[in-house]
Amino acid sequence: MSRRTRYFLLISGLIVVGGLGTGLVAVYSGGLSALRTQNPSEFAYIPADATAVAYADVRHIMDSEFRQRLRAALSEDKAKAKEAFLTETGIDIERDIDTVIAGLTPQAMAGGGPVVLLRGRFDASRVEQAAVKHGATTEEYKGKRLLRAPEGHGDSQTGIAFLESGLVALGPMDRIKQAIDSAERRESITSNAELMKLITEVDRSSDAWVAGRLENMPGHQGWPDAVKDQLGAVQWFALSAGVDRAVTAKLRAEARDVKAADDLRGVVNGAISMARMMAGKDAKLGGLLDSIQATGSGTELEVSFTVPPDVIDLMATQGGLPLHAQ
Amino acid sequence: MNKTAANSPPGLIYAAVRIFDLSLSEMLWSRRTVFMALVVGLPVVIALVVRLLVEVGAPLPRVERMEVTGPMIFGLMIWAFFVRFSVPVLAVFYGTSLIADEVEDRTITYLFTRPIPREAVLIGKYLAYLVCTACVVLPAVVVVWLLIVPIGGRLADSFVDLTKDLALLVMGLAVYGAVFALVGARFKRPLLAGLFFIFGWEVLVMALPGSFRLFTVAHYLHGLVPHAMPGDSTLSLLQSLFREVPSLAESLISLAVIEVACLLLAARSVARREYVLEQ
Repeated sequence: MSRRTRYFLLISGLIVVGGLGTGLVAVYSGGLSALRTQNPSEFAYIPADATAVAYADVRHIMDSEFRQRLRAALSEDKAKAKEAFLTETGIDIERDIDTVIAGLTPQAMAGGGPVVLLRGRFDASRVEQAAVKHGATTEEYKGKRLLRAPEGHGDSQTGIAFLESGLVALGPMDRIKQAIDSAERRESITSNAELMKLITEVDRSSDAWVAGRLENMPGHQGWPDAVKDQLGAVQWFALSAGVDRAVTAKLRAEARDVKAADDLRGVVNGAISMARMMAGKDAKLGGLLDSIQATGSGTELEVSFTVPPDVIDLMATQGGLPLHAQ
Repeated sequence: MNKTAANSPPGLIYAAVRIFDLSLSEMLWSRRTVFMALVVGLPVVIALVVRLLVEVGAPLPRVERMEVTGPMIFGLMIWAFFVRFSVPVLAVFYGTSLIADEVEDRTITYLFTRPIPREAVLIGKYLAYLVCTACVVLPAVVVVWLLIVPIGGRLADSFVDLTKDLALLVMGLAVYGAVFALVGARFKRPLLAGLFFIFGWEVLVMALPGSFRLFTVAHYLHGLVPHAMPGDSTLSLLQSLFREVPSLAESLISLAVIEVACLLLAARSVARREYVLEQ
């Protein structure tokens, strides 16, 4: 090998090593978490005051056998609702969306609902055409294209925003603008250390998860007082689910103190025992209930369960159960 | 050292390393290197121009009314310039010439009359090709990354993708190189056959539905591309309609099988074939 060849190889190697070294320094100096957790870029659009975050790998769930069974059991109304959504927005829920992320803020829970961030393959022109055809108006906000729905007034109107290539936001216009502001000012959920700690502890390989504070969850206000009292003891919770042939879910909760956690474990175990008694000789329901495991110590409570495919069929034949909630 | 050992012909690995050593300089300082510098230099120049424009305050381009960021441009450049163009083109020009050049220059006789296994000639030259092209392509990718990603992005966030990209490109060079080494060892006009493979066969079957794509290298390389493919052209739309990206494991196994199989067949072909030198 000639001397100039050796020099060439040396310089080439130095450029590659130098580039990789620069990348490593960047990772260690400013974003070690980038390597460790790989937070979705959607987090930039979730305001820092969010108290809960929900995620779903729609693509995997839609392709799962569980979903196929669920689909067979879907009512016609739900299928029509999906078609209506496609017609109005130009977005096919089953084909176009890969992941969904939503951040729940106190304001969003107070009314209007949260902003839902959809990652997938969206034909912006088609979406815009479909929305405008149904009366939507277009506007720009800080360089982002927004489509405002005709229903409602002012910023309480719902809309669609094209945030990045392959990322759209759905929700009330004021929340969408808040999400854009959060990303611009870099005041996103990633600066909410308490919630981010909980999110990093969630099984991120699961197909769906939600983590946050329970008191701000939707529908909480309408729960019975007895349930509210028990759940009031829960400070934080994280629910993750894997969806394939069956659904495997794990709920982790942290109570405010050890006594509250003991009480909560007692209530959960009591509820499981009662459900087993009520299930009687029903083997399928019995199998589901047998899969429920409630464990934990100290202030922590962990409940895991598996919904086998047979239970889906059971639900379908009995009809009307939560099954029909898509 | 005893007499028998001293007189015995060198083994395959030793002989391949010797051929590699001889061929690397020859390959690196040939006229093809100018061509290679142009092919991989273009994205570097584009990256430099884009960075300069951004530095002087030019607005970032917009696709579908959305601002394009540095990491997106980098992903697009890796896809369009390197995975889809530079890697197959360099492989076809270098891979097909591994043996063909020696035949054309009538120097293959000198190699074949040495007391080394004939397979070692191909393997040594293949390794020289791999080192030669990787030493030009990888630094170019790193320079593009350093120039482009900081535009609206962070180096830390795309560092993992960069390492994947580098591994992907080395794998692409290795597999395409093995395929075209086989073409060069078997066909009389290997360059034409190679160009047809990458610009005819692969482009056509990748845009069509069906199982023909399984007989391309590009199909398995797509499974390794960590970046989202650009979706703003009709061809991309077609590809997205028919695209069935293989899993990571499927891609890795298939690429490994293609590489090993092609290299073995090429070595076997070189070992058995009688090369007739034209007068």
